[in-house]
Amino acid sequence: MAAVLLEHISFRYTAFGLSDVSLEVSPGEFFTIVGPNGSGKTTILKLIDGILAPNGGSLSLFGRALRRMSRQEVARIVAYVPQDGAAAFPFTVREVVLMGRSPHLGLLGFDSARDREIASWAMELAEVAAIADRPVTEISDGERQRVYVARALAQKPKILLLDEPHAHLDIAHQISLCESLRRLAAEQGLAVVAVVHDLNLASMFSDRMLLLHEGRAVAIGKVEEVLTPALINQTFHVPVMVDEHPTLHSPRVTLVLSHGSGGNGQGDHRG
Amino acid sequence: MLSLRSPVRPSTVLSVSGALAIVAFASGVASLALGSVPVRLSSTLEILVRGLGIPFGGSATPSDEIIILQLRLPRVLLAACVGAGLSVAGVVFQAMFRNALAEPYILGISSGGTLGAVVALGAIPISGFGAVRLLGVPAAAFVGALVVMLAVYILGQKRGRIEPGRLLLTGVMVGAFFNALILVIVVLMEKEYRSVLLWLMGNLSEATYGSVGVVGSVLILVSFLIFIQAHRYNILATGEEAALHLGVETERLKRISYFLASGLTGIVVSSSGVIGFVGLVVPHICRRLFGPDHRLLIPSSFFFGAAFLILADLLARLIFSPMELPVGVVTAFIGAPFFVAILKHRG
Repeated sequence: MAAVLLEHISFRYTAFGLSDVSLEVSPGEFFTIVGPNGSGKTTILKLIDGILAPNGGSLSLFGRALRRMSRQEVARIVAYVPQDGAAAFPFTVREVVLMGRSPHLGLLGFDSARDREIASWAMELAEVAAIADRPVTEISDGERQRVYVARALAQKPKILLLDEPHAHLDIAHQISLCESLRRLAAEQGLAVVAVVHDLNLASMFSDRMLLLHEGRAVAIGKVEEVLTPALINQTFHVPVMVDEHPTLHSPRVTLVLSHGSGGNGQGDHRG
Repeated sequence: MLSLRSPVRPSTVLSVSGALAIVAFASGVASLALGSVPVRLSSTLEILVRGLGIPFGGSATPSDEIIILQLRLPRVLLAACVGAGLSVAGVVFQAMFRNALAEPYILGISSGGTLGAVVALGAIPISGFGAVRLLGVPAAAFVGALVVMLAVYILGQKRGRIEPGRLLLTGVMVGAFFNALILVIVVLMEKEYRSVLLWLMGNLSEATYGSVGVVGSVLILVSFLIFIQAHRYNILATGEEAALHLGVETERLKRISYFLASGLTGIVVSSSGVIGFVGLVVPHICRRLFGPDHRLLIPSSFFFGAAFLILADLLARLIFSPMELPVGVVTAFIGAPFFVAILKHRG
């Protein structure tokens, strides 16, 4: 049974929206969503989490219609790592991660020894155990991002949604995060849906991906079917070359600057 | 500052609450013994034990017994209930508005509740309507507090967003308006000027066991209902969207919380009049001592708030003894500088 199933979803937002997006993510799959800024990537994550309601189409998690589920029921199977979360109150890292256990707590809302064990496990995995007792108001953006990953893992979700989890991370943490998530997907059947900006990172770790452009699915499928020079050029409007990663054999995207010499300050994708 | 920070467990809550309950009890005993006619500590304890129906010989005189059981005990118990209630309501408003300055008096809600109470006191004749009066006054205060809550909530936002500065100013203005109405009504009731002042600055001297019973049972029920939301308040403090991701029905939680906290405020002030700043000072000190976790903040504010108002009322009775100050004068002297200090500290 599909962990996540979107059928002909449309969503109207003031300026942009989504039209007729369908996708299916299986348990254990690492699925990424790529596309230019404003193409609707985050919107899809919020629809899957039930924070936004679609205007048309149907959405189900493990065969259950999302609109029939309460927030708590959703939070027991879906965890969400936000793009950025400013911390206003000086809760410690451990306290914030323990909040991930909230959907599973009893009436009085106290965590059990098992909840604390799960939080410790999540902090190890997200590499924040060393800063467990620091207030979240006093750590770096990258550390805070990993705290939110740990909080999401502490929810013990079956579906993990990540919105640009790499934005504030250095390359070592980018890679170790992706490897941890892949391992969780393989070992525990976790379905991972991530919005990723770095096409090469997405290529190295994804099973399948969705390429979005202006609220429409341009392509969906295996990485090598989606990351083609023609499709990338069509959506991002930058010329690229695609060859094979020397060891992983996944597609490798290289930017080709259109004006031979003007190298400085360009590069990267633009929105 | 001292802080006991590790994840809050039931044992932490029980030990901190227990310690603060002892502080509240000690404050209560001190408040019973001290006054224009002092009663010896041993006699005070002896009378309390006997009051529980346990035979206990000793040296207490019958007049001591009347002073303790008839005059002072209801007042001390009411002070405890009002202090605890205003403090818990303050914690909830602060969590909802994510603003450490929100509290029942600043938001005008205490004035709304008091107005409701004063209207009911005027409308329900004194003779022969004991039960109607005992329950009708708090009920009217409850309605008054809810009306102000709604008004402040609606007027305090701009384009669907709550703006902290706007909210607080709206609360202060609505409070001033309702205080003026209280003044008008008490004067029309042909009460002496002194009793107007007592309603506007807090008055615990008319405490009876009946009012303690009503206020106390509502207090315990509502505080429990608020306490079981504590872990959700923690999550809400980290952001509204984060709360949704973690399974909190934020809109429902907010509606329930506004309702409970305003209702609690209304019922508490129906017996005491407007007492300011308790809901500001007490949660602030508890947050500094025990951290921001609401599972500890709510019970610690409850017990510390009880002790705080017992002692404030004791001061109000002692400073110019045998004359009494309204207890709200004492809390304002402590609370107003506190408000300014927090405001300044926040930059």
